[in-house]
Amino acid sequence: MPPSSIFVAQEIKTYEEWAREVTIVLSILVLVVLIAILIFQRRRLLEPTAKWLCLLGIVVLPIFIWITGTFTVFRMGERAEFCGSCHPVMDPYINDLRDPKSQTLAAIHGTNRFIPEGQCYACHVTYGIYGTAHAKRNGLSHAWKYYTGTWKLPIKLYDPYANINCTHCHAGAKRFEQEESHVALADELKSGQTSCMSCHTPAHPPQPTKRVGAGRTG
Amino acid sequence: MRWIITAFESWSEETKRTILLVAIALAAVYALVTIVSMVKLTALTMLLFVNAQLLLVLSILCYIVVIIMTREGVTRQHFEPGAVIFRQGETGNQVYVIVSGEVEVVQDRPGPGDPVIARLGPGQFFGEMALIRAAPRVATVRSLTDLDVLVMQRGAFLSLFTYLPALRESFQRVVKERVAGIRAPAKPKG
Repeated sequence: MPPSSIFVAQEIKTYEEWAREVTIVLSILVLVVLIAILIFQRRRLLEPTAKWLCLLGIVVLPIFIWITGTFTVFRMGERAEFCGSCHPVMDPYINDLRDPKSQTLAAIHGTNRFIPEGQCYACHVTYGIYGTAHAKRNGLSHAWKYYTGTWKLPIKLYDPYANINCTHCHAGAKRFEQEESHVALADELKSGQTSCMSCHTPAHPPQPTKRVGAGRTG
Repeated sequence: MRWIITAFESWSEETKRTILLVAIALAAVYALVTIVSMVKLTALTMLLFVNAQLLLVLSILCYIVVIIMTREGVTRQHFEPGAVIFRQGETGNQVYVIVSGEVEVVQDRPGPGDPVIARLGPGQFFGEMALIRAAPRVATVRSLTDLDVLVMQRGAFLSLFTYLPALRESFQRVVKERVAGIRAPAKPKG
């Protein structure tokens, strides 16, 4: 859902927004149960009533929190706003993504909502069963580097940009399939011998070469 | 596996309660971290949430350990000579029936006198007063020899106590005698 559209009457909550609210409510419930145990059962902790309450507050509810919380973190973590939370590194990319005047590939896909949500994730996660797992693992390492200030500019892709990230959406589309240059280069595009980026640039604005700002920017 | 459970069972009531308090504290921290992460999801809070799963695992493990240690029913337990079965002032949730060996019952009380108030042997039981009177242990019990006991948990004991009047009367008689013994002034040693 676009954040500020004059055509939208009401906000429609997504699954992850629901999951987030459920997780917060369950976490508060856990705290209430645990505080109740400490207030009313502290001297009888090993008795059945306290043990049942502990089962609820230590095992049952936290397992539900783990399920809904992990789902929320995984889905929210795919949003561009989340990538943008590493401000000094990602700000130029996120600002460009939202800039209606920009002509970069990212901005064209972002401002026209060709990719409605999770724009960074949609183009930078290798598709397939391991793609998401790799992205989450790399994401954890990125967060660690960011908060320990050990990141370096310019940031680089792990591997050359794979055409599958483009063809995953564009392949099969009439305009894409009928474009003469695509047809002529079909085999090379398929094998990765020619990159989509050879013609369709720039994907993003030029990278800053030195860190700006304070704190975690190093 | 059995020796692990036996090792857990020999821990004192205070230890078990402390472990449960640790489990509660870990679960509370986990809930707090989750709330913070969900209210403002950034790379940092996501890292916190992911790492907080370790707290959840530890908390559940602590809980499981306590549940194993305090499970209902009757189990057999062995104590080495000199081992303390329970201490005066602790909360009691078990009754012990001696299968083989001997124990001494020791009570801290003001004034001179022998703190040993009783010696018990095979077929005799101890630990029932805390359960029947819902009060802390009134004495410390220590094994004098290699000791094998049947440990009856509160639930099992109270079921027998409730549904078998003859057994109840027998227990009540013994408790009455022991209470009278405890209240009697301590005789000076020698």
